Amino acid sequence: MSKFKKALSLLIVLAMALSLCACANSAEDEVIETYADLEMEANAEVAQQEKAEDQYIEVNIGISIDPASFSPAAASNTGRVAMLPLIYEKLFCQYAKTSDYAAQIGKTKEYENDGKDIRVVIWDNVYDSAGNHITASDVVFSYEKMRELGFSEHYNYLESIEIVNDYELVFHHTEANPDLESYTFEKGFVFSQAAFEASSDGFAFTPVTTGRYVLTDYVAGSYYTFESNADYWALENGEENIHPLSYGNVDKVTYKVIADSSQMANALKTGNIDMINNLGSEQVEEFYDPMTGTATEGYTASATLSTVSYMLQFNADAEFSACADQNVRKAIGYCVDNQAVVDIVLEGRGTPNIAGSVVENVTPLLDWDALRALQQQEDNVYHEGSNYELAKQCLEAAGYPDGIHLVCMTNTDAEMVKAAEVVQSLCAPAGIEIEIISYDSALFDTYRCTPDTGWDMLSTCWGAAQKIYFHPTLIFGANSYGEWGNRNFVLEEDDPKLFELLGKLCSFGSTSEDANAFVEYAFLEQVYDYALFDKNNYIVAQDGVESIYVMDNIVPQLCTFTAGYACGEPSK
Amino acid sequence: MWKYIVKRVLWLIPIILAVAITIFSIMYFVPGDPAVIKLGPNAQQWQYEEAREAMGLNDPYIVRLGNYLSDVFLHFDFGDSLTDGTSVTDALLERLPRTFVIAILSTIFGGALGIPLGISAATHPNSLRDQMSMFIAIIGISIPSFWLALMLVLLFSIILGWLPAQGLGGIEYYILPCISAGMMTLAESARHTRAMVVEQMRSDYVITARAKGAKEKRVVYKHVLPNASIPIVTQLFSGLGQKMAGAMIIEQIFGIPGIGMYMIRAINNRDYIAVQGAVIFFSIILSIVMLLTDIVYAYIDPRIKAQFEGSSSHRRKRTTEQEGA
Repeated sequence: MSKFKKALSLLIVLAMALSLCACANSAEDEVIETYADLEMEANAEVAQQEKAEDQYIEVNIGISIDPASFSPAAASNTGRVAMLPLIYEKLFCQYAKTSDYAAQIGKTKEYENDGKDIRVVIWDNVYDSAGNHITASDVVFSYEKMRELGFSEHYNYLESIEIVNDYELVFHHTEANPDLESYTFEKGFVFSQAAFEASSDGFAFTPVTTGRYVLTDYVAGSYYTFESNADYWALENGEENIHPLSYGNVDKVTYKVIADSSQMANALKTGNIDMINNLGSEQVEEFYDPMTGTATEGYTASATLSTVSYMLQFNADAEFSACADQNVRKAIGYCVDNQAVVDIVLEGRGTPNIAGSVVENVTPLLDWDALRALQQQEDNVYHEGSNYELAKQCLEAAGYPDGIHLVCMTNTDAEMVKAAEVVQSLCAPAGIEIEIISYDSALFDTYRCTPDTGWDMLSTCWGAAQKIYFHPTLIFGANSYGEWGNRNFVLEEDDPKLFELLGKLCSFGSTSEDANAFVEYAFLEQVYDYALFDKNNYIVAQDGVESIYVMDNIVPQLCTFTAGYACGEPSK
Repeated sequence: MWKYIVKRVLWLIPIILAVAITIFSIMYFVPGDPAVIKLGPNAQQWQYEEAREAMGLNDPYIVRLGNYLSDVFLHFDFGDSLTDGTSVTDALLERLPRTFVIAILSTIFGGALGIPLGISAATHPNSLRDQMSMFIAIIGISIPSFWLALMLVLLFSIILGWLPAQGLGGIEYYILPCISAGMMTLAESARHTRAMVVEQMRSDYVITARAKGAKEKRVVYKHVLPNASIPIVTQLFSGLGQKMAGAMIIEQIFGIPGIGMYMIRAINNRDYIAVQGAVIFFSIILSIVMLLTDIVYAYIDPRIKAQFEGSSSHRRKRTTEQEGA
């Protein structure tokens, strides 16, 4: 029996030792770059890797979401967003969140008809990987095919496309909107009609595209390998005419789909991958110390402020919610201490937001100093800490002196739920009782479209865009909400001032004053949305990656590597 | 025997049909708009309406059910995924072999170690060997497979560097997943084998064999094991089915794109078409596995065969003979 006890003890000790090893950390030494640094670098210069003639750079990237399809019209996900720029090209395209729409397949663009039309000339030597010549008719086919397949966001303002000749087109729009380029070009992949019609799977796994890279090998759900196309069409136009997203700093890129975050970290440790596209927050401290901003020895890390803003969005329909009253919304704003939300929800790995759905690092038009000055005022909803005195006054003014019961709807995303819970506890002392209900994202997206599904506010998030007017248009424009108005269910007759300011903001030549006036009115005074925080993303690579280029995801063709790093051999 | 197989195959048809109707109905009544899932939340009202019409969502329930059953059972077409537009049938068929390999190898691993462990424990009751065997079995049952998987990765991939932590490749990529998934089978078959062998060891025929001077090994392997093996084999086969259906966690951890991983992604994305396709596909696979189990069971247990064979023609013959007499 004593032998048995000894064996049992040894087993338990072994199990404990294994568990402890899993939690082990090591030293740190390397400096990280911030998102702003990376963005500035991106604007200033985008480096083309200078390689030795015989150097063949091969890189493996771990990604948690399977792109599932390379069809130009499939639903967007992180995997697709990360991989598609390698193979597909657009007419004009950004290479950083703050860059202009630079020429890719398009050569020049010119506004006409008071900004309602865009005349586009394309390069006359565009060929896809199968050798098909791309002309204006292919551009029209691509746009119409994507619409037919259900991917029609770029048709929000697009009325028709007129073919002038083989290499010239005019995009006619329903209105002159300064964000037309983002709507028209951002999602507009261009491909050959002949190739698409010959494809048996609609390009899902056999894409024939014009990009710098081609998909050469894959196992769906496991890995996808892209190799540089030696016959890439733009090479003959000279380096200066190649769009940065079409640079070929690596020769071969393999994306490995690793859904489990701890396995992702293991894959980096064992050298199975060279970079992690977006490290899970639980694994951050294995590779990077957020407090000192240093990477663990042997790794390069990059902390970037994500372009996703977490917020509370209110149901402003008076028939269905008490949050239609501005005072109720303000009361919640006074209760919530954004720094506390960041500290609890993200353990400090984020930045409190002070401007509704607008993210600081990607919206240069807004005067952030002016907003920060306003934040210092005690009656500003984003003033530091919780102000229960003002919150109670607002509740009294709204007719709820004894407190109020509200329903906060959220999806099952852990951070959204946690944010809702923190808001719930911060609001309780003022007498605001918040009930949280959470649904999976599909159901959440369905219920959020109508005000009568029993919610007063949403704990939600939005991806940010460079243009300040993109979000206000998305949130306050009556896109998918039909009779209900917009995402907050505010009709023009309910708040004419909001729409007047939105009109000014969305007109050509709008200024910082217009932007600030809108943000101050919509988000600080009316509090239609109450911003919570912007989250940090962590991207980690093996030592030897000189610089990690990030645009939401790793852009491997723009990363630079030390000499001799990650060398491989071309596939036969 | 053939009649038995045909009867069992015929039974599959109403079972699979019932599963398909149930799953379709559940998905039909589950709240949520497939058009919103397909187009995302930023499309316009007219775009959703166009998508609903194109997807046949405006048709009545019975029409949609009829179309779906006809596609599935007449054309073996589970439809196209809502989120990526790819064929669900193609995706499932492509992933099936990986899930199957994990299920088969882990069952072999569990059976190959568990059965000898159980025999060893049963032939030395209450000895240290018995206690150690049962201790291992209890550990195997108690350890969650996901935790075991992570610990195995830590030891064999990170610390020792012997085996890959995840991904696809040669057979070495399946070793850790199969050990993780097979540990439960090992434990269950060890306990089951021990119980069965101990029970058989008390039988009269064992006492007779021993009295006739048969060696202990011969008693165990020639007489006891064949009689004890029937429920053990049944348990292994039904475990195979469970493993196929329960491969989700192992596939997710080890990054093996099998049916389980596909299903998790479909559930997370609320991809109704993919979820209902995967569930019906699983029900077909499980039904086939259970059919094979029954056939093997009938094959190794003559009582089943005799029971069935004696049921119709033999019974009729006997009755005629009796009437004649």
